[in-house]
Amino acid sequence: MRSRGDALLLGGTTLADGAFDVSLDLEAEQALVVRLRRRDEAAFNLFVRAYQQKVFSLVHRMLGSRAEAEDLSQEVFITVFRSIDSFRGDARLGTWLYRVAVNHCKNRIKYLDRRVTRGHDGLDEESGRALTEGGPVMSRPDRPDESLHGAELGKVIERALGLLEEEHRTLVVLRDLEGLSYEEIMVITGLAEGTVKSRLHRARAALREAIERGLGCKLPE
Amino acid sequence: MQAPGVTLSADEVRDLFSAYHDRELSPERNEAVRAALAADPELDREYRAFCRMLDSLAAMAGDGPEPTVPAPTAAPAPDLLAGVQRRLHKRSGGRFYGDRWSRLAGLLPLEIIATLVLLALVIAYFGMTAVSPRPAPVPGPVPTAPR
Repeated sequence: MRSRGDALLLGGTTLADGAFDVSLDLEAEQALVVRLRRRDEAAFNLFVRAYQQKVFSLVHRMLGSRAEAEDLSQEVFITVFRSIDSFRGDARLGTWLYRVAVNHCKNRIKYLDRRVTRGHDGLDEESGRALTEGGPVMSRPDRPDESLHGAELGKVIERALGLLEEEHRTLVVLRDLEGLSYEEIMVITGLAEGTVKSRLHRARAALREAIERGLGCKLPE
Repeated sequence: MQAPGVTLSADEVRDLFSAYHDRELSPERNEAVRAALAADPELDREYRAFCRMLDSLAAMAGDGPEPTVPAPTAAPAPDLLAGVQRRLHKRSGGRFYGDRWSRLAGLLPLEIIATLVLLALVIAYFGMTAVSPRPAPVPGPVPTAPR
């Protein structure tokens, strides 16, 4: 029902009602940026609705906590509202938004680390201690591949992801969960291409180690 | 089975797993890794386990080959707009999102708002016209002029 008004607002680009996976063409994006710079509240409402799923997904994966993610996602949009004038248009609006979100996540992770209250939703004390100390999260299975199905695998990966250093986690989330290209990751992180590749390799290796520690065995094929 | 001119140790191949998976290697190194994996079953097993991990991540993201793997971190976002509007209103000292209507406009489609307004007008109209007419005043005694 919103699509007609949104299409007018975005210079003709039609959004499916309720669809958050929005991909604006360049012209529509520029029109949106112009209105955002004028602090057009209707345009900002649309912008939040269009991008909130992407931002929340990224932040949730970075922080692991739904409550923290909800709070921080709102802060990301407030930062965009305030600092849209600093968007030069070198990258796409969505990429710039990711950059803002990643920077917020880094700061929040540091803050939470200082408070030692990094409470991942799915990470209970016992399993967290087990992963940190290298012990198995689950009882060692007779056949390791049997444990790597469904919910268990998802939980093990999520826990392992939460134990990565912030820099490694950022790269794995951006590349392997958000599916961004190396070019986009370079823009978001401000790292050179070679650095992104080498750090991503180390991040994946660290993730693999964390998963194997969690499983108490080697990853099966 | 190493490619001519490029020989890689097992550790070097492990270091290239990520780039090999992402097809980021030069043709020569790509061929060297492929040959090394073909020649070493244990190394090949490690590489396949590495790929399995990345496939599982992709499945968590919702675009991988294993739809049975749940995506616990890909939860649907709550509606953030109302919270963002409240914070902006407060922090801007009331400059933005100052009135209830602008906030409501972001939450409800315009068609619904228009329908509600129309409905309110219709109810008001019928409310006014449905009032029973006042009875005609009973004529009192005709005043007589004083003599």
